[in-house]
Amino acid sequence: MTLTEYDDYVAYSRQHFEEGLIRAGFTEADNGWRGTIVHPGGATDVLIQLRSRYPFQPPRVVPLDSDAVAWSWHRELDGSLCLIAEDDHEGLWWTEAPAFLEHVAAWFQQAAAGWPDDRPDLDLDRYFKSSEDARLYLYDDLTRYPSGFVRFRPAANNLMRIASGTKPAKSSKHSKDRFGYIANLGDVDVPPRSWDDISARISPSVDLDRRIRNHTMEIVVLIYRRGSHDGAITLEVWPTVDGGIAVRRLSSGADTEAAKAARSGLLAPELRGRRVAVVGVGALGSFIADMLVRSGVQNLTLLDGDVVMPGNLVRHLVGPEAVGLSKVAAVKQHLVDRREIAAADITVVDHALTAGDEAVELLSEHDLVVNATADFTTTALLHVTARAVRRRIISAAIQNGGTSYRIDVLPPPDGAEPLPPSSNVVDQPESELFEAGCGSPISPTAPYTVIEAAAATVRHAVGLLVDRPLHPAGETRDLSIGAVRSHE
Amino acid sequence: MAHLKQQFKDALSSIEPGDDKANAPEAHRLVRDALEADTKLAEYGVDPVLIGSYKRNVSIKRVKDVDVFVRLPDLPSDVTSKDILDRFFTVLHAEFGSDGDGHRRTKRQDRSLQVSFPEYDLYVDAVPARPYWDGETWEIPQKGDEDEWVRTNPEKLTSLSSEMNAAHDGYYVPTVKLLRQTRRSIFGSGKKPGGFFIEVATYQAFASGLVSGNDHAEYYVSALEEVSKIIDDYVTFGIGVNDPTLPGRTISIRATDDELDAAKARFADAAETARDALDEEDEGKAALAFQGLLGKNGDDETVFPMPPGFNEDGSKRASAISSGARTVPAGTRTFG
Repeated sequence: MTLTEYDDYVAYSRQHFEEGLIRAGFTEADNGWRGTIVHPGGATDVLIQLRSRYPFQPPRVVPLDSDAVAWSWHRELDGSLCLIAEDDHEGLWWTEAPAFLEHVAAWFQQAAAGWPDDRPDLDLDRYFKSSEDARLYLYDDLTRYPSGFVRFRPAANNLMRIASGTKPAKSSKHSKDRFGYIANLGDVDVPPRSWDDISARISPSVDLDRRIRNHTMEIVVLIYRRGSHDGAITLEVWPTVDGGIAVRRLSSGADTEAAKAARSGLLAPELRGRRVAVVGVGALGSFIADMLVRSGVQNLTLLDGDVVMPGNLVRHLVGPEAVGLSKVAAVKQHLVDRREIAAADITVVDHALTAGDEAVELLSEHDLVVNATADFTTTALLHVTARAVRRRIISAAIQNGGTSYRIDVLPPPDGAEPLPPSSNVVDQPESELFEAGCGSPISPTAPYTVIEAAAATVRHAVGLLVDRPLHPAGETRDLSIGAVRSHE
Repeated sequence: MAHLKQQFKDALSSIEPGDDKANAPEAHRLVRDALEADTKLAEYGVDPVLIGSYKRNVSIKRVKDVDVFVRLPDLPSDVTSKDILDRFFTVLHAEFGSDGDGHRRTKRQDRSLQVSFPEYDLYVDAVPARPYWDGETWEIPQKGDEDEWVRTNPEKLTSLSSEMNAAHDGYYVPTVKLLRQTRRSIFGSGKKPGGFFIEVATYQAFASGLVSGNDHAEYYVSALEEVSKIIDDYVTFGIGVNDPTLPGRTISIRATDDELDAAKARFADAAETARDALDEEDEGKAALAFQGLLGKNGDDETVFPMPPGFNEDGSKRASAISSGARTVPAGTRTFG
């Protein structure tokens, strides 16, 4: 699309929509289009505005008489109708005015019926203007503060972190702390929009108004319920010169396990009690370990005899601070620092797998052993041992000069056939890279190939851990980008 | 229904007189100055005033003539129409002389003197006028040579026009322009009925209360239908169009029967086409119809543009994404 085509499309969309409004009897006013929406409950005069991003943003609809339409979760702070949830649309369907107006009429019909099939969006935030305080207020489990009295302390990165406590009579030590109260509003059918709305729902025994007026309280954290969901919002409150209390919304968020677990994938709860060993924590193994923990696995054993070299870093999970550490120690430290997994839950073995009895131990003590060594002998040892003790391993490697990965479930269950051979060593690029010293050549594998292969391996591993294997034998996948150009 | 709000606005700017807007007042000023400088005319109380479509803001591109109504309140009754036209000729010819090709710039006409301004490609018509006995209206030469005078009240039309425009939220004047442009487009300039007849017919249509609308499109279609009926009545039944400035007087079209029949048929067709276009769902088809009715302006440019998203033939441009098209192939509820 050229810019002319873009302009043409935008102009067309606007005019096409406006034609539809004219047909529906709307007339253009200074600030938008005025007209009447007829719905089963009657007729309502509204103003429809096409905002600057139209058609890539739905039109805004405001009732001309704002208070004549019931306030509910389905209205924005400015009174406009909350018509389309952010992710609730296919295509730009609102560009057809008749469809859009029908949707608006349906809004009024739903409003009249009291929103029977309501989706519980927890977005009380929308109903308060935002504070000028740009800091991020983090709260943890709010049930930890039964008295309701809390403080927020400044922390790095412009954070305000919650702690318990009331404002001391003479405060100098923590002069930058802000004191607050946690109030539970219970079920909220109509979102409060002012301090009076909130105050009416809080027990008068707390005497919040007095505390706000004498400046011993500046923050109110509201817990509320909508349907079967809980939400929380952090507000800044202060007395105004005319004797009222002003309210502004602070940016806030939950710093809780639940907040993270909610984003770990649907299978995270099932993975919580599983134990996984990762044999080989080089490029592939380090990312496998990281993704297993992110996805909910909380008990790991890492096994590797190598040390982190500077050249490893570009394809490895860990950073330059880990150079010189054993790979297992480096990965453990990384996970403990960043993923909130306890150090005690990660066992490290800083040598390569050597003997059969060690392999048997690994297999019997873990729900799954992931072999990311890409080492022929280690793979053979683990496979044979697994077959002997009737367990399975998952073995992952990048093949063919970094152009494909192969994931094998070994041995395949119920006598299934293993995947067919997928190595084409004969086509190896001619020049291999070696570094000084005795060792294998450097693999030409790119970092993105490593991470893609690691992700696929974790997907298979998770499938096995929850007893829903993706494929009995595993998966091979070509990751090459066209033909490799050779340098003369 | 296609109202094509923006395209009607564009069409109106396309027929708006351009440079003429600056040239016309200048030409008018030169003629006025020449007449006022003459001692004889000064004795008659010479007091020229601009009239005509230009003055009433209903002229369309290109403005070819500017009318100057030269009021002579103190003209003695024994000065004949021939005398005064002769005097005008003497004064104006003395001032403007001949053009580069040796043609006299001042030309005598039945009722007025026409001065050409070749550098502006326009004419100024200076019409002498003496007071009518009622003290309110005026008389101008009917046929100069026979000392025949005819009553007129051109300034009244200027004020009626403004009043009508105000009564219709500013839609009257643009509608007159669109109808004049339609006349020019379907008949050609210089053909009958002329722009003035269409203007007065449009005024009568508005005055009858039958013209209404909420935007340019609705006003245009409604006025075109009413004016078409007025022309039909005139051609079929000989019902004249009222002169709104002189109660009881009518205005007629000086044309042959064939011309009148053609005018009646073409205006009826135009009214039907316009109504269909307004009712048309497809903006492209509607625009094509309005485009055909309004033709080209005085600079040979198409008056009514295609709306964005449509080709010149009225078809929808392929690049315009239809609302059902998947502009986001991955769909919704994605994560990144």
